[in-house]
Amino acid sequence: MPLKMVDKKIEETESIQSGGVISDARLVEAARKGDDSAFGELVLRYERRLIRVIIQFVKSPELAEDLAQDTFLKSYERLDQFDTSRRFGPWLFRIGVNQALDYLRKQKRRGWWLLFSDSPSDTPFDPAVPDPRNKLDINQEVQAILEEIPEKYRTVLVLRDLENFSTSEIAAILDRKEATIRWRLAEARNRFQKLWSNRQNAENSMSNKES
Amino acid sequence: MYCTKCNGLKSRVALAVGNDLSDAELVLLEKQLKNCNLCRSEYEELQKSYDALQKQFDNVPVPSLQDSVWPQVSAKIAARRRKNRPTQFNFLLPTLTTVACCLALMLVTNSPQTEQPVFPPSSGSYGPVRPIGPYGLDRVKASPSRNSPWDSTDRLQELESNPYGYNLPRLKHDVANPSHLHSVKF
Repeated sequence: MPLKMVDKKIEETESIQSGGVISDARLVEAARKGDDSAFGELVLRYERRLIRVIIQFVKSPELAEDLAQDTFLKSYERLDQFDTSRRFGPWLFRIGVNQALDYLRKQKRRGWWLLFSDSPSDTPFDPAVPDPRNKLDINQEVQAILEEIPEKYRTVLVLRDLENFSTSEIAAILDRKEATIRWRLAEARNRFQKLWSNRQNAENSMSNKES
Repeated sequence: MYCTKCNGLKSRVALAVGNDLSDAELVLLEKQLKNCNLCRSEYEELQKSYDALQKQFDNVPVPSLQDSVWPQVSAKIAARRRKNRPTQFNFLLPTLTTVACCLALMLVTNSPQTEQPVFPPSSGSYGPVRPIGPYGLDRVKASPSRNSPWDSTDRLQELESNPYGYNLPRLKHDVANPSHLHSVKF
């Protein structure tokens, strides 16, 4: 039986490695010497992909844009620490992913604080329908499941399955060995599948009861 | 649920749905799944959840090229640079601070010492403070002692004429002008 493999269209990275166009390393060198337009070129090369990746974590385009700006600013300040013998993209995305994860952690802590504080929440829970789960579309379902997966698995899943980074690129972004990333990816997919099946079964049983 | 025979396939199947296996690994996996319906159904379940995840990927908004963040980033970079830029004399600040500290240290260590009164070396033991008043004088007269500095007659006379017990400047009348009693020479 031939396995039905997904023919994934790997999105071309916006980084141009060589061939008539100035390489990332040269632009970094120029930016270090104070050439702002060189850094601007790097921003233009990576910003769309970076914003897309950050959106996958924070779910808000506006917020993702702000975090992307912070990422570029931080990377500009740390250009001296960048090793030009390595690739610029993973280094930049590492800063961006860490920015997004830090933001989510802060939000989570703030959420716990609001939960235990006496101040009333800004948006009181007042669902328009008795069971809001019925209103969730497939995207919301997927999002809800992703949020249930632990961060270290979710990050790999998002970068690989939603942003099409290769496992070697993810290893460079997260500063882990590729074998570790492959193991986490398999674990993440299995966990996602388990949660997905549970949800589907629960929905099916509910629809059966209603009918 | 994977069968006990194929339990080791779990991670490889998960990698296979995302095309993350090498060709050799894939061929091997195909052979194994061909003989096991249970594991094949697990693979199909994984494939369904993976497809749902891919639909999510398709729905993510793509930022447009027109909305570049570079203008904002460059403005922030310029603002930070202005903030960190040294003013005209800022580069002299560490040097001036060091010089000022050195000068202050020199002033403290080389300040002229205040003159301390020099006491003559004592020739004998210090005696008790002589009591003041007629009672004290009487006692001195009644029990003279040769070693005491109060023993000499001159000293006793002086003490009798100076009952306050401390040295007063010796007053000398101006001989040239005897009528002027208040003119005093020290």
